[in-house]
Amino acid sequence: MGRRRKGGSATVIMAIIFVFVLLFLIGTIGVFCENISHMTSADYKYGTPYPRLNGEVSLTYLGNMYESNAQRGYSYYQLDLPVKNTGNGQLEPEYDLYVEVEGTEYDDVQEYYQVREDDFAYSYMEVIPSGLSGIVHQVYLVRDGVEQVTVTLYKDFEDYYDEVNGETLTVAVPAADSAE
Amino acid sequence: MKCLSCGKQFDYEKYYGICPKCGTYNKPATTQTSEEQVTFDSHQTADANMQTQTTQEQTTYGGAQSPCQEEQQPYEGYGNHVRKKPSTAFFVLLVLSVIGIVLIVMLSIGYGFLERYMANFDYWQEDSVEVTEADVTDGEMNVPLVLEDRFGRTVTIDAVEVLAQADTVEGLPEGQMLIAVHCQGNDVAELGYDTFEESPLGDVYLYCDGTYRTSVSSYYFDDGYMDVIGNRQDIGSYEFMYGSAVSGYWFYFVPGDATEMQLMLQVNDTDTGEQNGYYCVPLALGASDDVQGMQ
Repeated sequence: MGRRRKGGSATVIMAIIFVFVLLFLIGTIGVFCENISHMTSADYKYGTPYPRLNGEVSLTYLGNMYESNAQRGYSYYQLDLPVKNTGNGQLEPEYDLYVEVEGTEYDDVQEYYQVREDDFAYSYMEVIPSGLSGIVHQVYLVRDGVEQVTVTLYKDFEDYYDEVNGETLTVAVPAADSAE
Repeated sequence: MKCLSCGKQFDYEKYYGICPKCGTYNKPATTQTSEEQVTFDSHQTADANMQTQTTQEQTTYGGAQSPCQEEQQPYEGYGNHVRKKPSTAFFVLLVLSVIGIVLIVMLSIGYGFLERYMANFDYWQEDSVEVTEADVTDGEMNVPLVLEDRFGRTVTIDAVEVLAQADTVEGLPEGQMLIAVHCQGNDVAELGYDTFEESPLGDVYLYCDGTYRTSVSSYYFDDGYMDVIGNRQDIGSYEFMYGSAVSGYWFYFVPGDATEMQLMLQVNDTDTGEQNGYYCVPLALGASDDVQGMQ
C-alpha cells in the first residue's frame, strides 16, 4: 500500500507545482495588464513636466558665507532660472529640473544643497504648474575669479545623463563688489 | 506448492508463487532449486543481491528480519517488481506547468520590452507631452468661480488672513509668514457620489515673487502648533468631486515681505483629470474679520 502511495505521489507533487505555477501566472498576467493599462492611460501620457527656458538667466551674488556655510576660494551665488513648464504635469524643480552649471574647469562651480531640519521642512514646495511659467532659484558656489559660467537645461534625466539636447546659455558671474 | 518459509501448501498458479500466509515469493521449482527462498522488498539491492548469492542463500529485508514479518502485505513485493508507469494526469500537469512557466518568462520579458518602448514613446517624444499655453481666467474674491458647467459646481474664495507674521512663532520657517485662505463650495444636489471620475478642482497654488507654492497640510501643525491655526480645518481638492457644500482652508508659507500674491486654482476635466485651465484670484491680506467670526 505504501508503494502505491509513492507511485501516486509524483502526480500529487506535480499537481502542487502546477497550482503554484498557475497562481504565479495569474499574478504575472495581472501585473502585466495593470501596468500596460497604466502606461497607456492619459495620466501616464500627459502627467509629465517639460521645462523650457523662458527668459534671461541671471546670477546674484550672495556672499562668501551663506546659511552659516563657507568654503575657501568660493563665493555663493543664486541662479534665477525662468522656466516654462510645457508639460502636463506639475514641475518640482528639486526632482524634475535637470540643470548643469559649469565653468571651464570641472570644479569651478559646485551646487549648494540646502538642508532643512525644521518642523516644516518639506511641508510645501516651490513648483511650476503645468502650462505656467515661474522662476526657479538655486544656489551655487562659484570659484573666485571665474568670470562666466554656462547654464544648460535638459528636459529630462536621459538627456541630462547623455548631455544631449540641452538649452545652453552663457551667464556672466557678477563681481563681488558690484553686488554689494 | 509448499512455501519454503512457513511450509503452507498453496496453489502456485493461483497465487503466482506468493505465499498467501507469509507473503514470501517462491520461485517455480523448474527454474530454482527447492531450497531457494527469496523475499522481495522495496530495496532494489535485494534483486542485485539475489543474483550474486548462491542457491543456498537467503536474502531478507534488513538481513535479520524474518520473512514472515511481511505477512500483512503479501502482494506488495510482487507489485514493486514491475515499475509503475506515471499516470496520464502526471504528464498533463507536467505539460501545463511547463507551458505556465514559459508564459511567465515570456510575459516578464515582454513587459520589460514594452515598458521600455512605452517609456520611450511617452517621455522622449516632444509632441506627446507638449501642451499649449494654459488658459488663465481672472477671478475675484467673494465671487463664485465655476469649476464645471454641467452641474454648476463652484468654489468661492471668501477670506484670507495672516496667522503668523515672519519670525514671530518659534519653529515656523525663518522669514516666512503663515497665511490661511478660506474657500467654500456650493451645494449641488444633482451631483452624485460617483458622478465625476475626477475632481473639477485640481491643485491650488499660491503665486508670489515669481514662484508657485503648494499648500501646507494641517497635519504639520498637529505637533505643538495648533494654537497657530486654531480650529481651522484644511480642505482637499477631492472634496469638490461630490455634491455637498464644503468649506475649509488652505495654509501657505510666503515671504514675510510679500505684498502681492495670487491664488491659482487649477480646473480639471472631470472625466480625464487633465488640466483645463486656471483661475487667478488676487488675494487681499487683512480681510480676516469674517473668518474670525466663523470660528
